[in-house]
This record gives sequence, structure tokens and C-alpha cells, in this order.
Amino acid sequence: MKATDINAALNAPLSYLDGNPKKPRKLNKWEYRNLAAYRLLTSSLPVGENENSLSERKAHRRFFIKSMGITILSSILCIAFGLLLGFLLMLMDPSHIGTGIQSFFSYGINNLPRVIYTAGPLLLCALSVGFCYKCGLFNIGAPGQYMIAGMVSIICALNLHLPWFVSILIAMASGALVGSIPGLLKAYFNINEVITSIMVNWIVLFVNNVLLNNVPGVLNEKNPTKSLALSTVGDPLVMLPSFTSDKYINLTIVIGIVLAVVLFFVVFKTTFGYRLRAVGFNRDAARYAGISSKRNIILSFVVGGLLAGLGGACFYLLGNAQYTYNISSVDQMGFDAIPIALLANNNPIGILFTTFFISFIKVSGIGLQGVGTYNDKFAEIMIALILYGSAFAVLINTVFLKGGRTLKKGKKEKEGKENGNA
Amino acid sequence: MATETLPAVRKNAPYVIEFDGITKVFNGTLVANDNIHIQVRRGEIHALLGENGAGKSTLMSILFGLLPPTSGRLLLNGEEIRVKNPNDANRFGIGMVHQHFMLIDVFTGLENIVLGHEDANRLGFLKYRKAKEKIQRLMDTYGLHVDLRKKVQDMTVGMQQKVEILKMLYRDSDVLIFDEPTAVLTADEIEDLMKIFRMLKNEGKTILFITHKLNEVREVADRFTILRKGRAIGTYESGKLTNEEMAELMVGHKVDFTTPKGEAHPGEIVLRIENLQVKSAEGNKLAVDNLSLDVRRGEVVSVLGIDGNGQEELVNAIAGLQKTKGGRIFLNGKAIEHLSIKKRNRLGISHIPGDRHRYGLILDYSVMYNFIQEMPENATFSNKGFLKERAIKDYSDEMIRKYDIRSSMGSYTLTRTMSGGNQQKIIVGREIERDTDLLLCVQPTRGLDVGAISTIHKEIIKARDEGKAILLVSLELDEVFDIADTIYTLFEGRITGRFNPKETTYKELGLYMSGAKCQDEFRKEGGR
Repeated sequence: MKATDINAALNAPLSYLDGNPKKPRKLNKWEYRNLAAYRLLTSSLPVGENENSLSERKAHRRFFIKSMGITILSSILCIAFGLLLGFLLMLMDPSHIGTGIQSFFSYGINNLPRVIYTAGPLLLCALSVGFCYKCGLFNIGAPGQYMIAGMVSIICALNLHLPWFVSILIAMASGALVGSIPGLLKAYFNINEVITSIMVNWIVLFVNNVLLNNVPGVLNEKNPTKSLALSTVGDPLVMLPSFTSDKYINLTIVIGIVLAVVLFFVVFKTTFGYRLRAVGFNRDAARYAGISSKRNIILSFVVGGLLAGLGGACFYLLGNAQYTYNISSVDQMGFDAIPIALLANNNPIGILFTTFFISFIKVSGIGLQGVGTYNDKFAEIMIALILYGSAFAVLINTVFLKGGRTLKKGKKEKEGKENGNA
Repeated sequence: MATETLPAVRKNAPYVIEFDGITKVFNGTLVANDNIHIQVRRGEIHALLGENGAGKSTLMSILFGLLPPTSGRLLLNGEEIRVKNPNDANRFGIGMVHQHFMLIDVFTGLENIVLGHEDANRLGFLKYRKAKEKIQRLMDTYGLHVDLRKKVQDMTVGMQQKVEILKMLYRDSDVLIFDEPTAVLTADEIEDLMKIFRMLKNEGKTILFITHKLNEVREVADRFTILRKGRAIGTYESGKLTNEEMAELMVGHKVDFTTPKGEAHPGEIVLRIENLQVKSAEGNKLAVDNLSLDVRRGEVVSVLGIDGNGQEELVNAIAGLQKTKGGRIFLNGKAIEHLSIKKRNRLGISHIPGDRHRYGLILDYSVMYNFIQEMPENATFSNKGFLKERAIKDYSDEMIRKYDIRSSMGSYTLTRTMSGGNQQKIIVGREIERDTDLLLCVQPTRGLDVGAISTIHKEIIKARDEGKAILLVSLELDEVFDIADTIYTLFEGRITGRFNPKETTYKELGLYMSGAKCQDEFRKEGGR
């Protein structure tokens, strides 16, 4: 397109608005730009001469950057909102609020390795939840997939003395197996995956308890704590490699970051991801297009199981944690991952950053312990509040995108009316 | 001040509604309404005529308070009003029937009509007696008879529309807005609606309705305003312009009403159906009953019937969306009735589905991704499983240009945000351009304006001349007469006759479609 054409298109809108004799009005900068872009993009140029792919791409990029900016801004506002409300809650012990906030942040900042340590398995679980959600499935089964893989990996290491990477693979397979149960039920019988995966979580919990309790060779009878840990094993081949002596910085986070990037490409840049999201958006249209929704549903649950399983295996193979007999609650890790995926809108790269942030708050919460009457549960409350805030993100988006201007104008008009009536 | 008072109805005000310089700029890049001035007289039927995406629905949404205008004023009886939401609109006496009805399926007609305006006694129990009396009065006055006890989900579309109209009248609306009221109706129901329109007008109501069917304007409207690309081209007395002139004003250039088409040169058989049986969705009876027909290369075969006589099931069975119960389907001599949809697509079936939101589009994908719905693994669009974004974008740009698809951000537009007509163009373009032997078209021009219809008809004929076999299912007789080479009439899942469109009339076809007549060769069980 020639430069003169662009100028002609840009100049067109000004003249047309003068057409209203009652209310001649100049466009503001923003309307002017929109009009100009509209003229460029659509009909005012004769079809055929519309060689505007360059400017169109620019317009799209500008819109994309703007909406990206607003999305990031609204996320930050949500986070600020959550933190602020959390700190307000701390007013229940007003005399310690200053030291509380200070030790909250200083603990988190001083313990960054611990933040990274917590982030590793959390990231893998959140990727699992996010991936399934891209296919329209809510993977509440992540805790179960995580627990079975943890158990299997410990057995592989402790009883079979397998090298760590073999243990991981076997554990991932077990996670996938557990994950495929709700997947199969959903695909073939259309049973709600939320219900089945919650039930599978409990089944896994008690299967693990049975293994811990009753199967000879798994649990040493002399072990009164009813827990399994690798810390007693000195064999480095069995344990997950780590880079520091306290094992806080280890291979898990590396695997997690690599997988987040890989998954981003799989979901958004491959035909597999295209089909997966198509099934998630509109199952009927996918069927019409010859995409097997059954296959994609099962596959996404299997991949979800592999990811959560990887998280569980990495966590327990490290040797820092022990698997404990527990009769009353499913492991928290997989559940903590759900809000992360939601907060990041299930985007793998978003999940990557969100995980670090949530992990930071979690770890910082420990810093509150012992200060006044606070405890580390304040961090949980803040995370919950941030999640609530994210529900308002859409609202914030709208306000920033268009509401701002109309709101202001409405106010002005009202004022004018009031003056007129006075 | 503070409390807003209704402008007193000044019967001497010449115009009941005035749009004064309404401009609506959507924040992306789209100017939907461009300084629109329209004056609507009291008690008239005023049609808004325009292409898909001309800004008709946007304008009505502004009047009904669903969208705030970017600038401009709305006047009711000569006084400026600010309609901030539909509740405001209701208070000003403005009611609207949307294209997709806003009814609650599991509620009865009565419950839907009073919804939001229920009477209740002190304990909070609903009282319907007064409401029933009022609705009965309205039904008698306007000849709108609805079974109030029936649930909406058990009603026909025409009945549901009547419930919507009663809903407006129950709220004492004086200005009634209809967004493409006839798009979803059968011919009989349309006639009914036109009668209701006249009745409403006689009782002093003002009707504003959106349409792109020229004949409706001619038949029922007093005046009409043409919108084109967001601008009001002009307001005219009905009957002053010919159809050709109206269409030209609408589209901006001359429109051919009949598609120029040469003789068909049918080649070898592409689709052969033998004694096909398909169960209906409810599964209690045969929707397609022992049906046999052939479609040859280079011809357009149309299956014509009143809605619900098995044409949908027939197409679904060929496309693979529905299982067959018996009989055989051959594509180029190969039996396909047991193949997956994917395999059928690969073997050469394109399908323009009747339900575009359910099957045809993935609304949350951008336009360019919808162009590759069936073929992401095509070598043009992907390489070793990785999508080639640039190639997809280029293809999409070309299609947008070719089919004149209008949207705010071209290939990147989210399909959900587009108007129905432009969405339809995506599907039609995609299916016609695919390299296939058989094209199944179900209502290919549903919801499209005259300009787009003529483009798509030309493309279908072109596809025919390039050697595709085309099976057309449409409820529009005009369309079938326009492009079909052979017409089969269908009644209760059976073929009742075969016709050459040049040698038959609407009336004759009507007899065969309603089952009153049947040609001898189709009378026998399973006869070909």
C-alpha cells in the first residue's frame, strides 16, 4: 500500500463526523485511531486492492500488546488486592503487624532456595491440571496421580534399588494409569471427571495405606512412624540429583521449566494441541471435523497423570520428604496446584511464573510463625484471596479496556444535568 | 433531581423514537454505527434492512440498553432518554425479541412471561391469577394463542416467539423490537407472524424489525431504513423501490437475483445411497426410511421437504455424525457407512452443517484456525505436527478476501465475536475450497443477506462445474429452484417424487412435500 493511501484513509473519518450539523465534534485520539485502523482494515478500500496484511499485522500486534499489558496489570492488581486483604486480616493482632509483615517478606527473600524447592513439584502438578483444562477437563485427580507416583517411586528406590531415572519412569507410568481411569470413564460413559477423579484420589490414598501397612517388605515392621523415606539410603544413584547439599535446588525445577516451555509449544503450536483445544472448546464441532474426542480426552488425562506423577516421583526421590501413613486427608500438593493453573488461565508459561509466586507466599508464611498470634495459615488465606481476586480480573479488564471512558463521560453528563436543574 | 422520571407521552410528538447521530465504536477497531439518524413514526412498522454486519443489531442493542453508544442521542417522544440497561428500556416501554430467544426452557409459558414481574403474596408464594387474566386479555386482543401450561422446551419455535411477544406486551411495551424474527421460522409461521405484526400495529404499537429479506419489507413494513457498513443510507416508503433497487442500496452494487448457470453435465455417480434407514434422535422411529438416491459428478441434487422430515438425519448419516440402521452408502463406489468421520472426510466429503454453532465452528478459535478445522495435518498448514502459522494466516487472508468476510481484526478475530452471516461465510468458504468430490450443503445461506447469498450460490455452481457432486438441503424454495438440477421431495423420511426445477412449480412440490401426492415409482417399498 502506498503512503498516500494511508493518509487518505486516516483523513477520512474527520470529515465524516462534521456531517452532523447539530453536534459537530472532534474525535478524541483513541476514536480517531480506531477509525483509521477500521478504514485500513475493512471496506472503505476497494476489495482486491486491500494489500494491507502489513498494517493489519501491526494493528493486531498493537491490540495484542495492549491486551497483554492489561492482563498482566490486572493480575498484578489481583495479587496486590489479595496481599492487602491478607495484611488487613493481620490487624487482629495490631501490635505485631509491622514486625509480621517485615518477617513475612524477609523470610521469603532469605529462603529463596526453599521457594524453588517447593515450586518444583507444585509446578509439575499445576502443568498437569492446566494441560487437562485445555481439553476442557478438570483434573482434580492430580493429588491421586501425585501420591501413587510418590509411593511407587519410593518402593522402586527402597526395595528394588533402581536408579532414579528408572524409578521416575515407572512412577510416571503409575500416575498415567491412575489418571487414565477418570479419562476412560469420561470418554466411554460420559461420567463427570470431577467426581471420578476425587474418588480415585481416595482410592489411591488407601491403596497406599494398605501398601504401607500390610505388605511385607514394603514397610519395615520395626518402623513405628509408619512412614517411608529415602534419607536413610546413602546410594546416590537411587536419589534424584541435586545441586546443593540441602537439596533445595535440584533437578525438579529444571525439568519443570523445560516441560513448561515444551508444553506451551505442544498446546499452542502443534496439530496435537490444536485438536486437543478444539475438543475442549466444542466437542461436537471436533467430532464433525473428524477429531476423536474420546482419544483426546483419554490422552490428556494420561499426559496429566504423567506430569503429576513426575512431580510426585521427583519430590519423594529427593530424600528430603517421607511418605507417611495418613488416614484422613489426601496429599495437599495436587490441590494447591489447581488455583495456580486457574490463576494462570492454564497457560503453561503463565503457570511457570505463577508457581514461583505462590510458592514464595507459601514459604513466606512460615516467617509469620512465632510472630504475635500469627501462623503460616495466613499465607493460605492470602492465596485464597488472590484467587478470588482473579475472578475479578475479567471485570478489571473491562474497566481498563472501555469502561473507563464511558464511566467518566456518564459522570460529566450527570453533573451537567444537575447544574441544569438547579 | 436524582430520581429519573419517565418522559410524559406526548401524543403530538411526531416520532416515537429518534436516533440522533448514534455512533458506536467497538474498542478493537470496528465502527459498527456511524452517525446514524433515523426517525420512527408512532404506530408504524419500520424495517431495518442491511447486509450482515451492517450494524443493525448493534443499533437495536443500543436502543434496548445492551450497549452504550459512543456518541449520539436517543429520543423518545421528542425527549432525550438514556437507556443504560434493558430494565430502563422496559420502563420506557421498549421491548425486544432477540434472534435467539431469551426464554427459560424448563419454565412454562406463563412462568416465562411473568418472570421478573411476578406477583407474590406476603409469604412469598407466587400468585398467577391476575397475571393469567391479563395475559388472556392480551392473547384475545392480538390473536396470539399459546398454551401457557406448556414448557418452553416442548414448544415449536413459532410458539416460543409468541411467548416472547406476550412477554413484551405483558410489560406494556409500546415499541417492539424484533431482531431477525423470521430467520428461524417456517413459511407458515412467517405468515402468522406477519398477521401478528399488522394486529399489533392496529392496536397502536410501533414495530422496529431487523431483516434482510426484501419480500418481508415489501409485505408488512410501512417504511424501511437501509443500513450499509454502519451508515444509514436512507429511509424510504415501502413499495417505492423495486427489489433490485433495494438490494443495490443495501449492498452498494448491483445484485443478480438469479444465479447464472449453464446446463449441468452429470458425470459418474459419486454418492449412491441404497435403501438407507436412519433412526431419529429420539430413537423411536425411522427418520430416514428406505431411501435411495444417486448424486453424480457435476450436478446439484436437492432434497426438499418440510423441516423435520428426515433431511437432517440423511445428511448426518452420510457425513457420519449419525449411525445408520440399515442400507448402504457408497462414495465413489466405496462403502462408507461404517467408516469414521475422519476417514470419510479424507475420502472426499465436505459438509456445510445446518447448525453452525454446534458443528461448524469452534467459536473460541480465531478465524484463521477455523479455516483448518478438518485439516490441521494438511501439509500446507503443518509440518511434522507443528502448525505453520504464517501459511494458515495467508490462506485465511485469501479466504477472507474471496468471501468478503468482515470482522474487526481479520484473521485474528475471535469467531465468537462475529455476526452470524460472517460466521456462515467462514464455513461455506472452508467447505467449498476443500478438495473433495462430494459437498453436502445444509441451509448454506441461512442468515445471509442478498449479496452474500448470490456470492455463495455462484461458488456452489462453480464447484458443480468443476466436477463436484452436490447434495443440497434447504428449506428455502427459492434457493432450491435457483441452483438445483434435480429435486427430490421428501415426506416422513421417504422420497415422494423427482422433479426437474424447470418443469415444476412451487405448488406442485408443495403437494409432494406434504405427502398428499407420490409419484408411482416411489410408491413401492424400497423402490428406486
